[in-house]
Amino acid sequence: MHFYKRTAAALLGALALTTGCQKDLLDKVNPNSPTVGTFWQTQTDAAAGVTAAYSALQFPGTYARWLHFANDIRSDEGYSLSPWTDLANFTRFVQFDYDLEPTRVIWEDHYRGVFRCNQILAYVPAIQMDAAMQKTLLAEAHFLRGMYYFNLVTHFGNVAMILEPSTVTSSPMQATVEEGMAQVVSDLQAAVADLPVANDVGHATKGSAEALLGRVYMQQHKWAEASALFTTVINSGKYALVANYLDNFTIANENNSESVFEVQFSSVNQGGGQDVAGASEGFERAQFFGPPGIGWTDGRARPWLLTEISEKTVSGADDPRRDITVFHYPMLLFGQTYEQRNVPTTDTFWHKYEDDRTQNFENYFSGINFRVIRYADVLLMQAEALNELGQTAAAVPLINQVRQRPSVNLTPLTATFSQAQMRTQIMHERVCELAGEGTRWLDLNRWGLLKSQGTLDVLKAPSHDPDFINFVIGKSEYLPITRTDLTADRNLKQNPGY
Amino acid sequence: MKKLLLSPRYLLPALVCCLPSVGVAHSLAAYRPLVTNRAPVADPVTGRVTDEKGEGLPGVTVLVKGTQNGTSTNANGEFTLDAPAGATLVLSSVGYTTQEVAVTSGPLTVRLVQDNQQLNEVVVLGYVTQDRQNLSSAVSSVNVTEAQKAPVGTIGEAIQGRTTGVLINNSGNPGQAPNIVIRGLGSINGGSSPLYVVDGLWTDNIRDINPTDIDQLTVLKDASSTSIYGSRGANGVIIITTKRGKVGKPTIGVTAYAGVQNTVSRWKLTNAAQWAAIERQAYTNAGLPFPGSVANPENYADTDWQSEILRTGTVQDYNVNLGGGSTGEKYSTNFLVSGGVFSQKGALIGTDFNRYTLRLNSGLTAGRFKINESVQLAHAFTTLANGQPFQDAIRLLPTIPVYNPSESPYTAGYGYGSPAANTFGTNPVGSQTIETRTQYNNRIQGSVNAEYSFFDFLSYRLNLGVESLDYVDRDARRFGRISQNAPTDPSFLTESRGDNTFLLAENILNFNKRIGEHGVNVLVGYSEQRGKNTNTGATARSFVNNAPGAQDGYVLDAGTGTTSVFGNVQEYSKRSYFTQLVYDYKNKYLVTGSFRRDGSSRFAPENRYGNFGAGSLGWRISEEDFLKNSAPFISNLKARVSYGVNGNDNIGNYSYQGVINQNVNYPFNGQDVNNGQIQTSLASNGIKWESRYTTNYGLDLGLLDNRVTFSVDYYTSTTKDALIFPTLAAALGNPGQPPYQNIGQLQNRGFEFQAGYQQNKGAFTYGVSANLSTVKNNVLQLAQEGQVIGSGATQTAVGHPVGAFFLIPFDGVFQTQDEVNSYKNAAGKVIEPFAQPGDARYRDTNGDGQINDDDRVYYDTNIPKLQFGLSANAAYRGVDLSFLIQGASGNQVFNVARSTMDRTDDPSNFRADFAPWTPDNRSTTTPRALQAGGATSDLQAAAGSNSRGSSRFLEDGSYGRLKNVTVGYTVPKQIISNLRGFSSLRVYLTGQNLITATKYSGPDPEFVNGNFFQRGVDFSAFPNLRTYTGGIQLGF
Repeated sequence: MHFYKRTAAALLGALALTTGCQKDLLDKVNPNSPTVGTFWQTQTDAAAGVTAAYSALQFPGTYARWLHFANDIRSDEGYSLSPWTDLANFTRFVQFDYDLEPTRVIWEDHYRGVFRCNQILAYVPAIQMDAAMQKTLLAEAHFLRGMYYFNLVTHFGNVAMILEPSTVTSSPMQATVEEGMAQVVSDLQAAVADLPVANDVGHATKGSAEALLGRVYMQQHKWAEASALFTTVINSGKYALVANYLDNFTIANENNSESVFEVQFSSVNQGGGQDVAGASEGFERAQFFGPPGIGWTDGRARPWLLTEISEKTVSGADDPRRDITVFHYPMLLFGQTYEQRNVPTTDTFWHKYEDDRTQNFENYFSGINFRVIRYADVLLMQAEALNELGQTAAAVPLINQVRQRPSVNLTPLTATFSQAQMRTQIMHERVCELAGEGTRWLDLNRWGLLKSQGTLDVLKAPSHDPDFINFVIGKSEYLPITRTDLTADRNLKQNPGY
Repeated sequence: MKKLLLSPRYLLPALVCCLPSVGVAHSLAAYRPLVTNRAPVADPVTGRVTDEKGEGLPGVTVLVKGTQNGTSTNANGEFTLDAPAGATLVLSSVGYTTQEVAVTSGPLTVRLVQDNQQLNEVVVLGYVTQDRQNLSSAVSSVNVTEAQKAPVGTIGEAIQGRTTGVLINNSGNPGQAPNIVIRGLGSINGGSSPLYVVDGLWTDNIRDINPTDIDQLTVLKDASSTSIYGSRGANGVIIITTKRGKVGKPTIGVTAYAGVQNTVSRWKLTNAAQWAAIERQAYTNAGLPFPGSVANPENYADTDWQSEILRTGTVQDYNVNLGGGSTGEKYSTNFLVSGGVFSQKGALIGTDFNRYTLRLNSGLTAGRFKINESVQLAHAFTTLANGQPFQDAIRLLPTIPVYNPSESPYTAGYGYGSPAANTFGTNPVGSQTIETRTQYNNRIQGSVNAEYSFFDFLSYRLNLGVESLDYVDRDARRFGRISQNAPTDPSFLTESRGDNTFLLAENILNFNKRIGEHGVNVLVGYSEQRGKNTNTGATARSFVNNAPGAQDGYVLDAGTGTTSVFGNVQEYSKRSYFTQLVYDYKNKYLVTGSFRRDGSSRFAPENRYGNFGAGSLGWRISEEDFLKNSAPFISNLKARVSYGVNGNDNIGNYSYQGVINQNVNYPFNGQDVNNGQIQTSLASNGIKWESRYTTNYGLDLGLLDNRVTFSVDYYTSTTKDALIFPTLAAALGNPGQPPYQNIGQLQNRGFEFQAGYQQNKGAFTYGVSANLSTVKNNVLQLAQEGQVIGSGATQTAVGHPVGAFFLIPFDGVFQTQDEVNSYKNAAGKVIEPFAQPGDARYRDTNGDGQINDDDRVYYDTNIPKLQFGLSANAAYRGVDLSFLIQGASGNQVFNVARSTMDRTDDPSNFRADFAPWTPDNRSTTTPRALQAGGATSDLQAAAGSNSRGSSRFLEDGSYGRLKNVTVGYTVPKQIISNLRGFSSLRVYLTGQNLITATKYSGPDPEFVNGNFFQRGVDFSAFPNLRTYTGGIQLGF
């Protein structure tokens, strides 16, 4: 019977072995990441958090891709013939699916940025750290949140307003356009107050916040407030136009003297996914706007830009900004002729921010930084603000600075302008200088061109942008709020007309 | 044999320590508690065992009752055994009723009767076993022998239509496990797959279990049978017991089949000329010029994309097994070694599945000690389908060539569209060849079950189980373009490898005794489970060799571009205390009860433990004298009722903790990447156990010695504190999957009927079995008042089933301008002012005078109201025939492929019978063809409106399918016995998925959609396969 005793003993041994009575058996700590409870303790944590808040600028819905469709392609400067009909329709003010990727992702990705800023603003004040650094980091978070909300209010109007770190039970209220803009102003004022004049490369500075707040005031027709900010920026002596206009759109001369704020992109990582190691830090616009055979050509430049940018330089040449802005016949498309690429000679494509100056292809990993605000824009906005304030003559030298950048070198304006004439002139100057840089949608709104059928009739002329035949006043100014949010949060109501 | 006796002492510790695989609670009845009587003097007994027709039955186990002394019959059914006078012999064989006969002088002749409906079988019920006749729970046993006739790779596919209450959806995708749901969708986000228990091992994966090795398959459906599985029982449990060797002469079995496979159906599509004709209507109506291939299709390709991606697949299956066992006075052993090869060349180009399995099952009983072991090693290799080949095949235009040698500058050489033939579809030939995705799995699933009986009524049992998976997933994508809408990323290779280990240990003390009229079985147990998954992977980019399909040079070292790495570890554990009671009085009044307390690492400490329990009552009315006397033809009548609760913690690990993402990076100088860290997704704060409460009423009836059987069940189950992902406003900044919350409630109700008739007497035997199940799923509560979960064409909301369709109602086609102008709401607003004759009309359900998302209504038709199966078998003189018809009805399917093809604003191919409205063809169901981007805003609005994914694309999804027909011939024993070495030979032909009756316009009404909320949406799924095979079964 030894056998049985031994087997019984072995079984009991196995019992002990398999049920080690490990007290903490059920306590499994996530080995993959720190938890929220253990983070936000040090200066390093705070700085890493702020880096993460900047990182949201690179999402497809922010500056990597879709925002440019909303800004440039929906505006009269651009149009779409995308085989993805829903995308083309979106740029034509025809949208049936309110969860359509472009609108949904613009909304989502901006709020991902907001969530990050909200965490910094909630947790960083409690960290024991260098006070100056703390102040700067908090001001950067205010700047970024102001910028995210400004884009949201611009495109969605009545946005969900959330200013605390979200939890699963958060249920934000909807803000009116006025309330939304007030929050933007409040954040940017906080940023202006605490941001340093000089900051590390790529970070927001006091000038960035002043220029952006000025742009916000411009949209509200608060000309004096805007002008005061632009004056500070101009007088700071920190900014100057670059001699070569092209330097604003290539990878070669990034973060230059003309750059007031730019979104940083890099081709160094080409991995998929977001917010994972090795994920792309790339700019996708060049791929989406690239000419046939190179990119998707989902967004194209309207041909009227060619006639608008048609002044001659002092030496009688064509305004060099035209070819830098738009591909048109018989320019080479990434080293090949229109004929070689089998492209109709009447087609025009966006050239700004394309990579043909350095490579013969496009992909989702363009490293060109996107200049959100250039000093040239500040000068033109100041000119406009002064004109609106009745100081029309003071606008002229500002405009001439832009016209006479060495590489552009148009003849300076010398005539005496009425206020109305100056408005028209500024409209022209802004297209020539800034076409395709995301300002046109703001301009159209600020100038009231989307408010009356009369001005819309001009815009929708077949030679200009016939997509505006679908524009409905009181509706098409804003995108529809995503269905997901309306169903998830009963506080939110759809925008008018949808 | 002494040697054998010695080895176990070393064997056991070795098994416990080194081979962490473990045992199962299965057919304990085969190993009755041992009584080590000293046997009286034995004399040889001879005899012959036959079936009902008098033919000798080989392989019948013959045991001297109360001992392990036994043998098995030879090819002619004869046996010789030393047995003392007055002893009783127990004769048993699978499929036959076990018989006991007293030893008499002279040869014995025993006729075994086929087991009718397995009424006397033993059923595993958690940690105890019970005779089926005493069962008071809702439990279905599947006829595995019939199911194994299906030429399929997994048992899950094979049991479809053969049992009640189990909804199974298959597809033709090689290596894809079917969707299996028991008694309705019981959880919203916690997963609705049942728990599988294979020889005692708890697992989620039975794809790699060789179907041929399976002996019994039982489906536990109600709470009284599943609540002992606690937190894993909520979605039902499928218990699988594998075959074991039988005492007697070792036997060798060989089975093999091979055949061809094609998809059951495909779309009939337009060719280039037909396509262009419809497109010309669309462009003309929109006032737009024709693109090149619309104007002149004759100058372009004429590609039949479906033919390009489909081929005749093959399926092959080979099995060899060697089994046997020995028995002596104090011990008995059994062993089975089984090897299998299953190989499938997919009907879709570039797909295949190959699986090699090796099973080793063995057991030893020695006195009071007993140990059984069961382990399978499986090696599976799958080449996966890429992208959405079946959707792309209908989306790509016929005027696009498969190959385009002049395609530049991305020189993969595929055609993918151009402004002349404009589409955003992907070349499906390209997607299957430019990229190769493979999965390489090595999986061990095993268990050891050791038991020691202190007394004949008290035993201690230890179950150890292990599942270990080593995998390598590879994804090699060559450089090149296959779509107008895919980036020309550098070529890459991603290799991801890892191991998942699951360990299970259960300690059970079991009391089982009949005390007078009282049968009592009580046990208590303690269990721990641990799991750990580790994963490591890397991606390398920019490979030199870009030939489509190239494998050479695709190793991580060969990449010349940027690389990235990833990896993570997941751990989880569970601790459980449980008890179970089975009681009967006079085998007439039946009571069971169970309780389990589970603690799971997946919940925060304050919510870590959950309690689950159930009870059932049964009354065997047919055992009552009044019925026995008054209705002797009633051989079985039993009423039963059960109620209980079980849980679900199938929610992934660590989700209650908010975590910091450590790679939220940004390149501040436009080049170097700076590290950022922050919380990027929300935590599932405060989550706790989800609980499912089920009530079940059942009645079983057997007539005429159980030749006729009938059984009916009604159940209602309510899931409370359901773990759901509440749809969060994106404004909260949480991308992707939202966190869990316990806020849902949902209900499932249904009837299940099963009827059978079996006639086994005489030369002609036959049987019929039919089953029918209904289910009604209803959401009772979601996160907040008014909360809904939208997903594509579906929305989940209170008062509707999970994943109900939510669509704008299509209301025909405007025939005249008057109809357009007079289509107004109550306030007199023209609802579709942009429309012209031929445009789609939708119902303005909210009366606001416009058509938009607010007009969507629910269609609660996404789940089949009933499903049915009908199987029959017949045999006559060696010829056997069986068939299975299976189907579902009462549901609708949202046909994505048709919604893609029938929209004319966006380029795709068309159905061959697609006839849009024209003034000469005034269709009432298909609007006019209208390209997007038309000349006027009205035309643009109309084009968009006509293309809406409305109720127009909901179709009747009912179907009936001749699932399986098998005809076989068994060579008579007299002939076989002349062939040296052979003991049996059967040849057969099988057809699978032969005929489908349905109104559904898509290729297959039975499909798999992996999105939980969109199970009713056919997103151009991989159709099922029609298979013809021939096979052979050999015994040695």
